[in-house]
Amino acid sequence: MSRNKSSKDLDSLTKEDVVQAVVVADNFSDAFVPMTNDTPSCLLPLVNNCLLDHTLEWLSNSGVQEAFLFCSRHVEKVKEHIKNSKWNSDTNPLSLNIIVSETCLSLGDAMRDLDAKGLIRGDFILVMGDSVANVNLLPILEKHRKLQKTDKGLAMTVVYKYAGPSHSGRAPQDDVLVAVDKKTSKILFHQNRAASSDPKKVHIPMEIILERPSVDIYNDMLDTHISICSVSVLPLFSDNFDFQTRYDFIKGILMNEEILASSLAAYCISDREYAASVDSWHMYKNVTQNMIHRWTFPLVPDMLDIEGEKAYQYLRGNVYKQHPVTLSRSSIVEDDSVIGGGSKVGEDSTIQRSVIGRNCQIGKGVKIEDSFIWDGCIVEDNCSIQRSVVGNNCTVGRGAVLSQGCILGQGVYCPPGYQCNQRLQSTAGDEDFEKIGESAYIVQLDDDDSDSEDGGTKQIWNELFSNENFVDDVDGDSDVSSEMSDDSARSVSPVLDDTKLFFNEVVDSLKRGFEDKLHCDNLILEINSSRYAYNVSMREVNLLVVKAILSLPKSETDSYLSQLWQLLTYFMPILKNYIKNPVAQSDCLQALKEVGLAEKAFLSGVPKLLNVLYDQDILSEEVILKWFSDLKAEPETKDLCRVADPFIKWLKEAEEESESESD
Amino acid sequence: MVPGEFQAVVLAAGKGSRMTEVTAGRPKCLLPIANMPMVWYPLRMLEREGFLDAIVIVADTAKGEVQAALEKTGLSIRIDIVALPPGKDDWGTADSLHFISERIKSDFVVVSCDFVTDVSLHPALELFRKNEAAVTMLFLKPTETSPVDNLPVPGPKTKHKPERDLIGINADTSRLVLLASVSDFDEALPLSRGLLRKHPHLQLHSRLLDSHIYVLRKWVCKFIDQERSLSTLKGELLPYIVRKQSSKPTQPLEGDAPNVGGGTKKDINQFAEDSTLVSKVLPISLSNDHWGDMKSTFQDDKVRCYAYVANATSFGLRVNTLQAYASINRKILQIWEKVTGGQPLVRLHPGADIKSTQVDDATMVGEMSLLSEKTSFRGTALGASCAILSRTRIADCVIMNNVKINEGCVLNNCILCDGVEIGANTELKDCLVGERHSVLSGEKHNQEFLADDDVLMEI
Repeated sequence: MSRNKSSKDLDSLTKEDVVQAVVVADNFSDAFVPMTNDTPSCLLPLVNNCLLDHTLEWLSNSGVQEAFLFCSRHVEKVKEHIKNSKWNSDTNPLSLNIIVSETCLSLGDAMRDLDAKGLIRGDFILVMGDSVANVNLLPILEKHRKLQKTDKGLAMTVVYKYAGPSHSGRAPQDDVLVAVDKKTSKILFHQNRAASSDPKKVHIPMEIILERPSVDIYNDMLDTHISICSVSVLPLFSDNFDFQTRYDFIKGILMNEEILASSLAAYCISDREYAASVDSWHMYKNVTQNMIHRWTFPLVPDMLDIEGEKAYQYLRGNVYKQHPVTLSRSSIVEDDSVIGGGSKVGEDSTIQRSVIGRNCQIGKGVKIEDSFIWDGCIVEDNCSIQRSVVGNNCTVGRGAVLSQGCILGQGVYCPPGYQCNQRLQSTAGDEDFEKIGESAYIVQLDDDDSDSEDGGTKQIWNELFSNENFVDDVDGDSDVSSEMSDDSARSVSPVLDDTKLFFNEVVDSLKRGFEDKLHCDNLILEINSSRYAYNVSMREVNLLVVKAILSLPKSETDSYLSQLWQLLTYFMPILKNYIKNPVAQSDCLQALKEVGLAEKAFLSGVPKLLNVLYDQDILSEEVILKWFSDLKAEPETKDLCRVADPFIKWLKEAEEESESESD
Repeated sequence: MVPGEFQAVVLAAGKGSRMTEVTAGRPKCLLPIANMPMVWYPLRMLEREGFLDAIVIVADTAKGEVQAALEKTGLSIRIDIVALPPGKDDWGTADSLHFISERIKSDFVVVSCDFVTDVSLHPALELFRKNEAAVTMLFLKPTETSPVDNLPVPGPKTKHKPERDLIGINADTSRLVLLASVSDFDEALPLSRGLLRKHPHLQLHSRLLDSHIYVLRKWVCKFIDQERSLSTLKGELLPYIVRKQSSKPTQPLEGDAPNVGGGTKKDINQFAEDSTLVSKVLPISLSNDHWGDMKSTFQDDKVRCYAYVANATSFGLRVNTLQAYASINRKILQIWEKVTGGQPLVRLHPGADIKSTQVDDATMVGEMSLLSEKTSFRGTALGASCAILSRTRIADCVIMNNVKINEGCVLNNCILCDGVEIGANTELKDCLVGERHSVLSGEKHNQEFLADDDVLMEI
């Protein structure tokens, strides 16, 4: 009896009091290829210490007592790493269990596997093994439990961090927009910009707006990829096989809130706390900078306590040096740089805003800017490395230039003098990568082997280090969108589209009509029907039809005029049909003007065209004269004025003559 | 408030088209609420907030009536009553402002005549001053439905479907970003990403009550003069200005020579620019209204709209429907103190002849009214010169002036317009009685609108 009771106590203890976390070691993406070819993503170094150590340090600091490390790729390496680290020691407050499932290809698979194993019985914290953070998780967990009391279906609390729209920590693929009911913290809408079909607008369902007095829409939140999960999360993954990623899960829950009887809550961490997940090169660079700038305190190089490692010295200008570093007298290390122990820097070399690993040999006259050189690299004399990543044990040959997002996988030998801005890896692999030297192959990411996501990542690593691109993109967008929100543009632009469509239709009809020698009456019928289809006003029809006729013979400019006369004689009935009154005539002339401005070959035909139209009684004298006087007032139509001038003169003379005759 | 900083305009030319049953006989702004004309409430509010004078715009026929009614109320605020010229029927609110635009010499506050509130204008004015706003609107949080509303609205049952606004406010800066009607959108609300980048934390409200109190910059009046196609404030002009906030000036560098036409339309940004001293201060100021990006203060927007949302405890009601009219009459005594700012309440007019012994605390009696013996009154507002004969029981009614009620009547939750006569032994429950209508003796009505035929025809 008493034993029973005590086991019950123990049960409640594990359920309530032990704070559990699941750390997913793999990021299930190829964002870090070729670095992750034979290293798990969580063991990539960030500021000379592997990501997993940063993650575990934070978890243990923030009160997590039990963590499950879920491995699927390169399991042996992870195990080896843990075995040799302080996490293995009995005195460590964080008890770490390694779960292995090599068949998992996504976060969803991992969750399903965890569900099947039945190890987790209470609320747990789900983080990726590449997280760098200092946020205290216990208050968030508490909030989650509090919300659970009012909302039984609460499945997950998604943790966000404030980050303004142009915050550098917002990776393009992580640009999220969240709508939250502030009263209940419930997430109502969550959209990833990359996954949205409309790049310019966000469509927020009216339903969620009307259901409550107010909805808060946040475009200034950053998804930290940290989630507090209720027990129900694992079965939810098991029940829904299409949940592959965390984003799938969030989207799925929001879409089928009623069916799944689950909801999500949002939690925004305070400005004083930090959390980020290094899942792309963009984030890698950003988090490194943040760590050097000490946003992640106590996770900063000079505070880290890693076995067998000497502490870093923190110097002026955010420079961190680990003992022993050999810097030659004339070398310069400045501005947010980190140099690992055992590294040597040669004469006249400069290192700016970069991280150098342990035991690196930097030669003479080397320039390293905004780059990450991992452990054991040899950079020979007079190399220049900018905005690049050099993996463990690489050799960069004398005078090589690495720039603009160049990434060297582990063990690459970059030949001397080589100029590179691509990804290189050391082995040929299964595919036929282009070989540029002994153990140096250009990595080509296939676009066709998976969905568009890959294309996205490719673009991201290309643009990784050029901040300007990102900013440009932002600016360009805001221009467009502010135009969009301008009401005049709003009312005009869709019409423009329609008229354009209509114009294309007319051109097609006329082309076909001329080729097949269709009767003009039928063509008029066709044009009229498309006019109704696109809801184009009569005046626009006049303008566009004339324009269409005049722009038909565009293809061969030599015979432009001869073609034009043929067409004109053929389509004369159409012109006569549409150009009936003075208003239509001025539209016709307007078209003439527009074509004249666009098509130089057309200019020489203008007088004759005017003459023909005048003779056919399509254009009247007064309209032509008025048009011409308007034309003169505009500077850009000078050429047109010049060619039309003789005809106008003739017209005036003829007029005077006829007047004098009538006198 | 510095004298002359703001002018006040009270729009009182409305016809009460949503409550024609009771407004057939008199202008809407003179409907009695606690025996005070409706327009008195906004004027009193302005007086309370420190305004010294106000322009009241009324319909062409109502000027004399309004003047006479207001003179009796003893307001100290100077009132300038402007009658709209006859001949045009549908004066929009912006049209009305256009009509008096020559009198607008400074920034101004526009108040609707049918708004009864205890909200202070000062926070809204503060917001307006602080940000050199073009427009500041005042909104109220919806009040929880109070138990008094359980009584049905007098008259035939109608489906009351309130119009709901969709209001988007930047939660950090109080910028009014979106102003639209809920019915403008079908399934989804499209928001441009540029807008969301500018206003990253946007609060969308769908149940706010628009107080129809607008603080407007002086140039808005000039803009109204130019844009004659925008005839109403709430429906057209304000949404237009709100939308225009994010637009760039159409042609920033269009030479210096104005086109031959001369009468080319000025862009709204030009209006805004002309008047700001702030444009000189901003470039040398270090203050910024937002953070998270590198943009300058106000994100370089020339036209800026703001919204102040009063907290949930404040009271505000637009009396533009029958429902609201019935509701305000039930509530007014409870909130009298707050709404009027401590104006003494004349509940039982000394000039009334009250012989009844059963008049409860929630009943008001106007001048020259006669309440005979053996009558009972509960929660009723009784106007001037009414005569209630004995053995009559009246509860929760609004009775306007010159009403005669004969012996033995029972009236529950009714609204009786001017000059109504109720025959003896009549029972009315939840009824509306139109102007000068006589209800015959001994009749019983329930939830009906009783009026002369010609009035019925009009409606």
